[in-house]
Amino acid sequence: MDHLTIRRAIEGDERAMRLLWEEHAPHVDAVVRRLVGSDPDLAADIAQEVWIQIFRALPAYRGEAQFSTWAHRIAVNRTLNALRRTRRLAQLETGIEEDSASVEADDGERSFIAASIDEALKRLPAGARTVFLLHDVEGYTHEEIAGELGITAGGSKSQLFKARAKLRGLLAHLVDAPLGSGSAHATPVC
Amino acid sequence: MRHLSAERLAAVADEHPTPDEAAHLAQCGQCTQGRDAHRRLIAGAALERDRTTAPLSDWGAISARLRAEGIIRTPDTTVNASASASPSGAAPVIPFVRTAIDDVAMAPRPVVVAATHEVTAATAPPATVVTPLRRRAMPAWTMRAAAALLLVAGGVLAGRMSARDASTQRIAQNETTTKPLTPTVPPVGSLAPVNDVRQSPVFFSSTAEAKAAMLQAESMYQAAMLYLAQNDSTLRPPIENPAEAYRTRLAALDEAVSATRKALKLAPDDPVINNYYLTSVNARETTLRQIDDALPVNERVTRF
Repeated sequence: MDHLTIRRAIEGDERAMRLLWEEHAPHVDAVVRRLVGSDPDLAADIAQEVWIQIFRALPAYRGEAQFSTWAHRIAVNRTLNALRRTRRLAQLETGIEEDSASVEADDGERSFIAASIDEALKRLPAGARTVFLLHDVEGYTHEEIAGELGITAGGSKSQLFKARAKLRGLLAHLVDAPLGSGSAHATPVC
Repeated sequence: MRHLSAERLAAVADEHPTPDEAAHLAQCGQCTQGRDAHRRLIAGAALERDRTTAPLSDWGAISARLRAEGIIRTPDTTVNASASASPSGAAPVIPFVRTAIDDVAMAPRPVVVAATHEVTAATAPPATVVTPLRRRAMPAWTMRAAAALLLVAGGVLAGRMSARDASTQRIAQNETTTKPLTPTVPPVGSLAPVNDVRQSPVFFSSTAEAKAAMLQAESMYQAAMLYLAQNDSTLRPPIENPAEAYRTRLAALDEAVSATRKALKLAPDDPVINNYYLTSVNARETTLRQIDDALPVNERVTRF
């Protein structure tokens, strides 16, 4: 997407705005979909709000980062804000604060084999899921996550490692090497 | 040393282990395997970042909002924005038939109506634009069929545009002189025939004109809603517990948006449903603005 298109969009040219949307909606909307999870209607509403916000903020775009990166940031921030405004905020913050939550799979989950990361993520608590998405998928640092979610960087790390541990269990057939020695840590000593 | 816990294995996948952990990892195949599994998980997660999806958002609804806010100042009047203006010169995206919501949003604004008289037979008017909503590979015969359909539709509508009678001129004059349009509104619950425009005191000779008039009214309505939200204190909830009142209103509006969105999926071409949806989305946005304006400075709505 060239600079001229962005400049025309800033000037209020609908055609340029539409070009930006057509180019970036598949990616930006995917970010929203990931963060919202399993509520397509809510995801669609938030995606709409994200794009309104992107065009509202476009005059402030300085070109220091790629447009896709800039829009990506807005998508993440706006989605988190929207989730904060919904009932999910309480779930999210509670999930993060419950540091003692077990990472071990329960009986039902032991028999569950996720076909993909996307599917496995649905099994995580909201807090751990959000931190995993922000860190391992979206590339945020723990300090940035802490700022976004109002938690400590340590809390972010703790949630991330719990999330990874649980996901590894759910995706063992995909990520564990097929060795015969077994991968469970049932034995505490070597 | 004991095996690394599940969480420490997750940590050392991309962080430095402690000296003890490093020594243990050097000699324990089980823990090394666990760490490597986490590294594969992280690599897979990074790939998720590049995953794209069919757009959840809808340009018609977005552009309507942007127009209402005055962010769009130059409406798109091209035949196919993505195809004609693609800077990379890539092959045009296969067009999909738009929903009515897109038609409403893409219809020319009143000031553009007069200009559409200059459209030649070789150029389809904006109201006939078929725009891409989703990118998907399609076979060549489908492309040819779509192109033929577009050509025929464009020819038919261009013919209709060129055959406008004097009433068209009158409508255009009305719009350019900002004379208010006063079409008859059928009683609630009745199903007036959509095409029976002669029962209305205003005559529309094309759907493009009717849509332009509707867009004008819609923009006026949205602007009025925004103004009232910012200035009419009677619209604000009782001051005793404004946070709770806003919470209740937003929850109700969320339900309305959700319901109208579902209705839109059932009847994507129905302009009434499209307008219900737009209205509920705008009402929600207005309420969010009210929250910013009306709550005391020391009070915040933190959940809905």
